[in-house]
Amino acid sequence: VSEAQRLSRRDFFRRWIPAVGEPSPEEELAALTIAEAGRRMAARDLSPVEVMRAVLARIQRLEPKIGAFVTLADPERCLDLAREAEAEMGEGRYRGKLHGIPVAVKDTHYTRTLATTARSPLLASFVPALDATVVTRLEQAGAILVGKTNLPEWSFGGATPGTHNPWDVTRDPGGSSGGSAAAVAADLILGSTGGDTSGSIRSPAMACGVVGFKPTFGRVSCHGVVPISWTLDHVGPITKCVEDAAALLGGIAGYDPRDPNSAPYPVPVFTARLRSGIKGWAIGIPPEGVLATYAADALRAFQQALTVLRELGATVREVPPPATFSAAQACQRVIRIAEAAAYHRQYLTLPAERYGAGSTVRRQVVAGSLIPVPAYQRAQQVRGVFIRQLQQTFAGIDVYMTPGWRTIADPTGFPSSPALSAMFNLSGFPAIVVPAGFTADEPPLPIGIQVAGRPFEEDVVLAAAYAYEQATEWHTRKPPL
Amino acid sequence: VAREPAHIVISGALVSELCALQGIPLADGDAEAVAAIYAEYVDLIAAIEATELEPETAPPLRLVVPRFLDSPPQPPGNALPGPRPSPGPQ
Repeated sequence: VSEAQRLSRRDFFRRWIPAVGEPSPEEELAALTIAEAGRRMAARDLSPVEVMRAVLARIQRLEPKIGAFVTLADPERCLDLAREAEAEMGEGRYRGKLHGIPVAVKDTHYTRTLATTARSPLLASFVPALDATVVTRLEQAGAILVGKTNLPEWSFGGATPGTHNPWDVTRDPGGSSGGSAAAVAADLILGSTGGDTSGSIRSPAMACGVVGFKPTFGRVSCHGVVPISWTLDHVGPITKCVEDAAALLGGIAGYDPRDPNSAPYPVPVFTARLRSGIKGWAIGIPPEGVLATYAADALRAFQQALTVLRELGATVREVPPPATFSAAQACQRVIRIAEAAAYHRQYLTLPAERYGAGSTVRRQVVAGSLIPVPAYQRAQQVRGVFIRQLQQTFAGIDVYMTPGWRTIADPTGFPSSPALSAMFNLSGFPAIVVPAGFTADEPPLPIGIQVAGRPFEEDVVLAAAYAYEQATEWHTRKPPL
Repeated sequence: VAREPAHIVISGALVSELCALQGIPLADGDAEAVAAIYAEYVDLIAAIEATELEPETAPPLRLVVPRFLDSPPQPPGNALPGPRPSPGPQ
């Protein structure tokens, strides 16, 4: 790997970013979705070089305002790869929907050509010897990695310091995959990946008005991804629309023997059921009491979404969460911190200052290292009961929907992810968020809704989300940048 | 300080000792801060212990499996009893 391929963000700016200025016409192509760009590239109506130039121009102008990236790849290298993709397409070797598409990954994903920091001083100069499986699969699909996106220290927390919400740059984009969500929302990239242990794909996606999809546990390999918690972590796409989420998931999903939790099941074509509609589908929703703490504007958007879904032919009925719902919240938190402590064991024996002066993570994982093993195992036992009960909850419904939660973009603080988010990490069931409106704030901030489904039925979840998305126009709105 | 037999809230001094046993160095103020964080987990652990459970219940090694391993695939729209419209061609 040449030094030219390891340019830091500062080097990138020095070479490429003379000043923040007005948008150029060249930038327009950066607003394309993966699906639109892919269709036009497949038809030889659009060059990947043009798209890459648009993305680089957009980054050049807006990254100082958004701060979505920790590291950017060498732009000349990105353009070279785009030219290679163009040449392949010219020879009739079109690889599929991700070919020639500029993408980013969260800075927890190992990359041989760029540092992987997890935003910790302990990994500040860490350049792994291998690529994460997700990175390899994106490359094999022909996608072009433009940069590594920002996150809070070790992915801990619901905020992403240093990154600004494109809808209101005085506010945070949510976290922990806040850099990915902000980059997609600001059209700095066509699609990205994130990580989700309690809601870290879905929360920032909602806060930034984009689509975030946590697939089934084991569907996407976590090999080569800096973990929080091995049995709660998921990797998934953050995109501009549901069709793009299906396309990006299709590129990264599949069995990986290097991840012990990887699921050895066939991967469907996630776009196949997209346009099937939801007529006759049964949608479960939480009873009113479960939503008592949800913000009024989130509940209003949720009710409006249910009206849309009924008009599309679905039936909606209240379905109480499992009897162990409350204990499950406790299990999620205990398992998360105990497993984080096990991973951090390698660093905890180093002098405390190695975590950095402002570290908030070290004390948390030290506390996690004191949790008794029987308590951790009991949490896993109760988790098994919860999963069985949740399977019964789904017995009479096709998908389960919840309002979005306001963990978002509030400078005064970030409550922990709500139970209706984290329960799908504990259970491993797939869950997606899609834009569903805006708050009454000034300026207005995006609100989302969540759609969850049975294990390994991502295609069903995607179909429900797509039906809603296509019946509304929220996903077409752009932040004023 | 013992609240209940299984739910001990530990002191900063005990945190220091336990960390020393594990070879974890602490900076000034860490022990008390960690004890305060740990107290939150004590409450969570108590909630978990209060859940009724068969003692023989094994923790899951594989969290979830696809439905097709248990039963024939059901297209969406067939979750409720009675005939439902087909989702149409895939």
